Amino acid sequence: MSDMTAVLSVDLIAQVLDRVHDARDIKSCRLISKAFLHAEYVHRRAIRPLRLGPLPLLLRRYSSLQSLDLSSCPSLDDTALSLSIPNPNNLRSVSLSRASGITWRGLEALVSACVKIEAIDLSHCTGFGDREAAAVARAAGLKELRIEKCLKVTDMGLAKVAVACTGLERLGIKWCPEISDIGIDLLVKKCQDLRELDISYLKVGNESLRSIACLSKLEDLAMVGCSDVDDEGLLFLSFGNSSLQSIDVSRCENVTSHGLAALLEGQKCLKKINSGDCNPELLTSTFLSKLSALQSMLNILKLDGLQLTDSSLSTIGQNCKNLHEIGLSKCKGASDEGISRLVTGCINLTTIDLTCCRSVSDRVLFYIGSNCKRLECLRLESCGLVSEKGLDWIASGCTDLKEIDLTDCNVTDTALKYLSKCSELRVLKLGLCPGVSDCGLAFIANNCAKLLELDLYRCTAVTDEGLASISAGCLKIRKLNLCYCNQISDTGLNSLGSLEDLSDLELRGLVRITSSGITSMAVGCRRLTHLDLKRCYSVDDAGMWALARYTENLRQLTISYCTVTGLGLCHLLGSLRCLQDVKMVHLSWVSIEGFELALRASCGKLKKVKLLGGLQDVLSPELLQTLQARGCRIRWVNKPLVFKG
Amino acid sequence: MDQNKQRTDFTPPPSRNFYQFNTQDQQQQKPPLQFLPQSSPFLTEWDPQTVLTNLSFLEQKIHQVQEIVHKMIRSNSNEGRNGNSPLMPAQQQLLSTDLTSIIIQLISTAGSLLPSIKTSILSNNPPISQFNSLIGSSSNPNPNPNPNPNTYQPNPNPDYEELIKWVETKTGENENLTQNPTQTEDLDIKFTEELGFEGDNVPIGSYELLQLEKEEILAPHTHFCQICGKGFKRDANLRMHMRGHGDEYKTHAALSKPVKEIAEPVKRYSCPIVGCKRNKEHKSFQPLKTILCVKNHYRRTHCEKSYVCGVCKVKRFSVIADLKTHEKHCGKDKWLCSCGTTFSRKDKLFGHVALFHGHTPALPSEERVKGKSNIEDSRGQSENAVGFGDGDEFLDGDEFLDLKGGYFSPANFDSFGFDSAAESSFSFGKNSDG
Repeated sequence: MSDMTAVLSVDLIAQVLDRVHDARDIKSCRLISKAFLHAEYVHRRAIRPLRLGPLPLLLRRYSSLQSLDLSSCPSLDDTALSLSIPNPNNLRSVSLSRASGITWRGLEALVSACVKIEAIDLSHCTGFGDREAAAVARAAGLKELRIEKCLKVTDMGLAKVAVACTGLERLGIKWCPEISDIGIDLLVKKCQDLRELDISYLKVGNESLRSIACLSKLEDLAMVGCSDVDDEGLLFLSFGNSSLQSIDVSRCENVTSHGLAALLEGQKCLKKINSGDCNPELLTSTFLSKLSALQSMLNILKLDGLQLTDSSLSTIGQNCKNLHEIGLSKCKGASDEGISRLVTGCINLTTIDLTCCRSVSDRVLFYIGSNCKRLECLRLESCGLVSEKGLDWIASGCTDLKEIDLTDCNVTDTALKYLSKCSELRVLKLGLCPGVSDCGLAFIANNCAKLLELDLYRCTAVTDEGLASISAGCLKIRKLNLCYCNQISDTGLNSLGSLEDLSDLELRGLVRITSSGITSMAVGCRRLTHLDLKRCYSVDDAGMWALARYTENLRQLTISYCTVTGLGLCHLLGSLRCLQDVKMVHLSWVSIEGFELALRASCGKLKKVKLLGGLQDVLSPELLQTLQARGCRIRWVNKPLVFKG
Repeated sequence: MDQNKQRTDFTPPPSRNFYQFNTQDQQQQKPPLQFLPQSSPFLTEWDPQTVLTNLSFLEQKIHQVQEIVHKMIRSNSNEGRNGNSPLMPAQQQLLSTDLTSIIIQLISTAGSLLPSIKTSILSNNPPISQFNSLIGSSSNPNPNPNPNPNTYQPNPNPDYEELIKWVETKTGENENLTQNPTQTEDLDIKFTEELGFEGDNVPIGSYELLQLEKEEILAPHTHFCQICGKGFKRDANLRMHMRGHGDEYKTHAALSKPVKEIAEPVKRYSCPIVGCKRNKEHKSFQPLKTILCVKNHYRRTHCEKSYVCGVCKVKRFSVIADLKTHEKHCGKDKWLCSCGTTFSRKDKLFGHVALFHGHTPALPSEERVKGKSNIEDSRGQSENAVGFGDGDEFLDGDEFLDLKGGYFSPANFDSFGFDSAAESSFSFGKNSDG
């Protein structure tokens, strides 16, 4: 092994490591030799630790680390954070998404420790307000800030950031309901370098758009669900600098195609337009002609939920030759004829969304298959008229297909046989297709070895045998949904043990599986992070012991209706160090003391708990206070409390 | 300043009362937007097309006024053995207002052609749309919806007596105007003055100048009962009081306001303190317009500020109304800048922050936490700031006046604009209801 370093310098090894993406492959590289390990230490730029404990050590070793993602760390609070992060350091980017245990003091310490910090992510820290924003504003060199769903941030907090961080380039303030036009106006005046801005779901009006139009470098503007904005606002935008490349006005119910036409008049460089679920009136011809004027510029167009005609679709097809993605989900009037003409024109399409276009038939699939050779993603959910013949055309025409959604499309085994020709398939959704059986899955298992995600929700014909063939063929599966496939038993779960990469597993309503099946699955699937065992009535404490013992990375768990006792629950919650979200409703074998102890055992790390409402009064108030103080949100289910123990 | 201009833009307030239902005509003859003489291009560039339109418009108006006069003559000859119709004064007033408006419009139409007209008169004239609404009503079959001239005299609230007086002076002036419409120079002056402008440059000698003594100014009562000696602030209250002294005081004539001669000279007042800008001996003397102005000026400028704000205990006032205005807003200034300035409104703070580099909004809790200044401790200190900010608010951003105009208090100025325009229109609105 020592020869290796003679041949390859650290730089070269680093170059190699750059090209390794899979986490497990990187781990293998680390284990090759000390040289590789050292190269990785020196070279690595980003880490995403699952626990805080080893963080100081990691930060010492990875000397050139720039990006730190703490969003998956449980029990993160001010003290833990300040102890974990060395001062000073080279960090450029820190993510504290959903770190609800942190306060402004922790943020202040973080910002003063990270002198070079450029990007901070505080999204979904719902308790954060102006003081937290003010703490972040101390990082004067900030270029990117995400405070989505920091519910208490007001104009004042935004002003703090705007005044201090004038170099801000990317800002996400989605779902900050307190921010108003005044705040946006000041932001625009102070941060002239903004390139990306997300003001979705804010209660801002046209005045904000008038301000935003003054941003000379703005490229990407998302304003989903701004119901106070209307066509006049878009008119203001059209007068602005024509730097805009992407605009998302979806769910702005007062925006019509007149406003969009006005916008296109001024903004000539648009590459992406999302106007889904706007005012669903008929697309005007002015809009279409303006759209045509964009011609080859436009790459992504989403018209979800709008009213379309065949002629408008064919106009788009004739003019927007460079379209990569089209969204026509739930469009009224999207007929076979129109879509066929569209896809005949736009041969570069890689993503087509026809969700709930119920009139779509095999004819459209024929046109797609024969024209869109580069197609990678096709969504056909609830297109009930699609048959195996149409899917055959798709499979033979679009050999690059990576993702197909056939939920509720009456898919049969023959159709799966055709689809298995797409050997690049990564995502396959077959929910609500009772016609899918073991035989069809065998075709997929034999040919689609790259499959990452398989959805078999309510495919009631699937049995252990089908599961066995999938587990043998598609070893890379990460996400598997087997909810309500009620023929599956422990044998099937046993075979799942071979899926080492599996991280999301949903087993809801599988009444035949027991703890032994869970145990054999847990032994194999060590990387499991999300598990749903709701209504698996036969799973008991033994299953919990297995989960506690083997699936150390489990983060999100649903065990409602399982036959778990207080002891099992305590052990489970006490042992799983990464657990953050537990749904434990209707555990009628667990006593009040059991709940109390279990919650105390996991107090620091839980962020979300779902419990029966009856427990609200019987659990000790100190416990509930501590939970909430640590940033844990408790959802109380309003159903009667039953105790069978 | 701007605000006051806007408030008083509408020239003759009394006409509002009379022209309540003129909507039909207004709709028919609504002039296009380009008519508005407020836009500066109109003032600087002389557009023959616009002038032509305006002239034909004026022609129409003059015809309408003619009709009214005809009607008046007819009605006079009908019932007029006594020749003294109760409708007469009101109609005359109506007529004079109409004529005044026509004159103003004519001047503004002439615009730059008249060298002696300053742009100020143009910009302060009512826009033609309003003019239209004034005149338009004249074609109403019943030109006088409020035939009893008394209706606007015994005002239910004697508080407005002063204002009514003012209004009457105005109408008097208007009649003066109609009598010699050629004196454009004079017109200019009178109108600016009427609009409640500061810089009340009525030429000396054109008014009767009065100077009250200190005791007179500060006297709580100005009207005294001849019988029992009781004092009153207002004449109307005295008249009400007099009823108790016998039936002879209960007649309509005794209770209604004594009618003044129309040609009563314009009165202006001088402050008794020598050296004050409002004193007649000052070289750039500016007279005070009403007794109320004198009282407020004297108290504000030359008296001790004896009223202390009960909320902040810092701000002091000499006029109780000022105190009340302040107390209404005191303590509500919750928008604080890092520089210590407070604002009563968030947008004002944000405007300030946008303007000054390095200033940032301060979060109130933040201050407490840092221990930089405890809210309670710094009460006095920050209150100074509050005071400043409050004053700011109070003056509607007129601090530049303060800088410019030496010791003439902007608050004083405030009273001018307010008394004359805003409240008078209010009182008339009330009047028409009754």
